[in-house]
Amino acid sequence: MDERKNKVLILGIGNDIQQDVGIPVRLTGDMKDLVPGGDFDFECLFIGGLELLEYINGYQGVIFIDTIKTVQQAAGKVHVFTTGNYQETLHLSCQHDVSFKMSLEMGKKLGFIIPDKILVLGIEILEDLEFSASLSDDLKHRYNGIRREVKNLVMEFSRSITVR
Amino acid sequence: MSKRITIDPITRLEGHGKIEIFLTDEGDVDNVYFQVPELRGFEKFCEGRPVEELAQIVTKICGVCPGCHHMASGKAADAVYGVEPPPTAKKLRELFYMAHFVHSHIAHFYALAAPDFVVGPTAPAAERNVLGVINKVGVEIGTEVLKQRRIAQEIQALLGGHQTHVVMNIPGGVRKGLTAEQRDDIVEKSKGFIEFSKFSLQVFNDIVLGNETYVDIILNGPYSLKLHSMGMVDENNKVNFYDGKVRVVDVEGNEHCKYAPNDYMDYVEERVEPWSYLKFPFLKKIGWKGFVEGQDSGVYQATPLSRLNAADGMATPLAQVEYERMYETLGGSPVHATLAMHWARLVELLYSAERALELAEDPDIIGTDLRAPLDNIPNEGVGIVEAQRGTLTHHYWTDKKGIVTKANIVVGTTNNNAAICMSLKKAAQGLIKKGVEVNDGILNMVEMAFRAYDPCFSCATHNQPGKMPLVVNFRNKEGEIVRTASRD
Repeated sequence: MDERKNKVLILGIGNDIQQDVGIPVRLTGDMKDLVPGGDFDFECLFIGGLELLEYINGYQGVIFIDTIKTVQQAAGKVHVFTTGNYQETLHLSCQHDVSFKMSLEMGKKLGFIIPDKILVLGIEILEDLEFSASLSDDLKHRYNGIRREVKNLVMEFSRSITVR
Repeated sequence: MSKRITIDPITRLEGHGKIEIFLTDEGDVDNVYFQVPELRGFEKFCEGRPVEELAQIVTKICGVCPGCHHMASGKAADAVYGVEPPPTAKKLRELFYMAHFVHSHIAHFYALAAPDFVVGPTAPAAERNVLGVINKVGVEIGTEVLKQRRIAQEIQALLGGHQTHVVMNIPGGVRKGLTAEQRDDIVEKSKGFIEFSKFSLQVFNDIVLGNETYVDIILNGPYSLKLHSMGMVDENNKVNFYDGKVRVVDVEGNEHCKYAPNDYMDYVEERVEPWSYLKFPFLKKIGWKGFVEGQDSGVYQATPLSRLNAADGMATPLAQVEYERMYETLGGSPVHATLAMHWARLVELLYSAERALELAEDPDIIGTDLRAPLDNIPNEGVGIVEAQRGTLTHHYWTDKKGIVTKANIVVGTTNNNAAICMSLKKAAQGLIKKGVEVNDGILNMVEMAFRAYDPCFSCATHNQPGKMPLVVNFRNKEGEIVRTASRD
C-alpha cells in the first residue's frame, strides 16, 4: 500500500474484443511506453462497481480511461470528467452491484484510502455492439490524435498532484 | 379493451432495458412488456476460432460472470474432443467455481437485495442502496463484505490465472495445479467463507424473516409465479453447480425430466418474439402455451430458488439444514414466491463455502495429473453448468481440425426471460391501479420482481452495454405515452 501513495494509477476499462470498446485497453498499454515509469501503475479491467475499490485503494491519484456514447456522436472525442462533474461512462458502473459514485462513498465510509484526485476520460465511440479485435475505421484514423491527447491529460494530471 | 401497439425494437435506448406498461381505460395495468433491445452476436464471433480458444474468448461476453462461461466452455471443449478431465482437474475447476459463486452471491445479496429489505422497499432511492444498508447494519459488516469478496476473487485469480479473464481451462483439463501451501491457504479462507455465509443467513433471518411486513411481501405480495423449476443435480439429486444432469420439476414438485447435457435440445427449445432481441426458451415436451403459469405451461424458471426446488436437498451439511429450514418456513417444496430467491441465494452461498472447503481438503486437489490426452477427432460437444443466474449451456460444433463452425449459448438469464416478463406484469398489476400514485417506491417494488432474478442482459444478448438504466413507459389505450419513469 505504501508503494501506491506516491503514484497515479491509470486504469483502462474495456473489452479488447468488442471493437471500439477496447480502445481504453490499447491506450493504457500505450501509456506504459509514453509516460515516465515509476510514477504510474497500469491496469486493464472489464469490471465496475465495488471491485474498483480494491484497485484504487491507496493511490495518490487515479485516471480512468473508459468509453462513452453521447448524442454528439463525435467519434474519438476525449471527454474529461472529475468527480465534481462526474458522468457515467460505459463501464464504470456495474449493474450487478453499485454505481461508481456509490463505490467511492462506500470506500470512504469503510476506511479505504480513496484518492483525492480522480480523473475520468471517456473516449467517445459510436458503436458498442460490435465484436471485433480491431478498432472501427472511425477510431483507427483518429487514434494517434486520441493517444496524444490522453498522454497530455495524463501528464497534466500528474503535475497537478505533484504541485499540490 | 386496450389497443394493441407494436413497439419498434430498433429504437433502442443505448443499453436501456425498457418496460412498456399498457393501461386500460380504467387506469389498471392491462399488459407489460420487458424489452431487451440489444442485438446478440457473440455466437457468430466464435465461428472460425479454434475451440480451445473459446474458453478464454467467452469470458469477455460479460465482466460479471466470466467464470461461468469459462467453465461451460471448458466442459463443451472436453465434449468436443470426447474426453473426461482427470479428477484433480475437475476438482480444481470446481474449487475455482465455488469461489466464483461466493463472490457473486455476496455481491448480489448485499448490494442489490439487501437495500430493499434492510432499508425498505419504499424508502427514498437516495437511502435504498448499499450505503443505506451499511448505515443500518454497521461499518464492520460493510468492511467484511468487501473483504470476503476480495478473498474469493484472490482464489479465483490464483486458480483461474486471472480473476476476470480466466485462462485455467484447456480441452481435457487445466493449465496448472495447486501447491500444498496454496491449498492450506484456501482451506483457511474457505472456513472464513462458511462463517460469513452463516452470518449472512442470520442477517436475513433477523432483518427479513423477523419483520412481518417483509414476510408478507415475500409470501403474499404480487410476486409468486407457479412455473416449472430447473437446476443441475448430482447422482443423488442434490444441487451441484459444476457437474451433473439438468433436472426439471413441475409446479407440484414432481420430476418432469432429467437430461444429460448432450440431450438438452430434446427438452428445451427457444422461441422468438418480435418485440425483443432476447429469446424465450420453453419446455419442448409441453410446448409453448404463451406467457402463462401453471402445470400446463412450457415456461420455466432457472434461478437459485429453482435449483433448490429441482433438487432433493443440498450436498453439504450446513446448507442442508438451511435448505430444510427454508422449505419448512415457506410451506414445503416447491416454493414459487419470487422474492424467496434471495433466501435461496444465501443457502447456495453457504453450500459454495462448504463445498470449497471439501474440495480444498480433498487429497486430489494437489495432484499433478491435470489433463487427459486428446486422442479423438473433434466434432460436437455440449457443456452445462449452473451460472449464478441460471442454467448455462454452451454447445459447439467444429470441423475435424477443431475449428468452430457453429455455436449456441443459452444463458442463465435467457431461461428466465418469459418468467421475468410474467413476474413484472404480475407485480405491476398488483401494485399499479387507478387512483394509486405511481411514485418511486411503487416503481421500485415493480422492479423488485425482476431484480430477484439478478438478470444479466449482457450475457443473455451476448453483449456488454456496460450498464442498464431502466425506462418505464406508461401508455394509455391509444398507445400514447402518458408518463415515463426512469432509473439511471
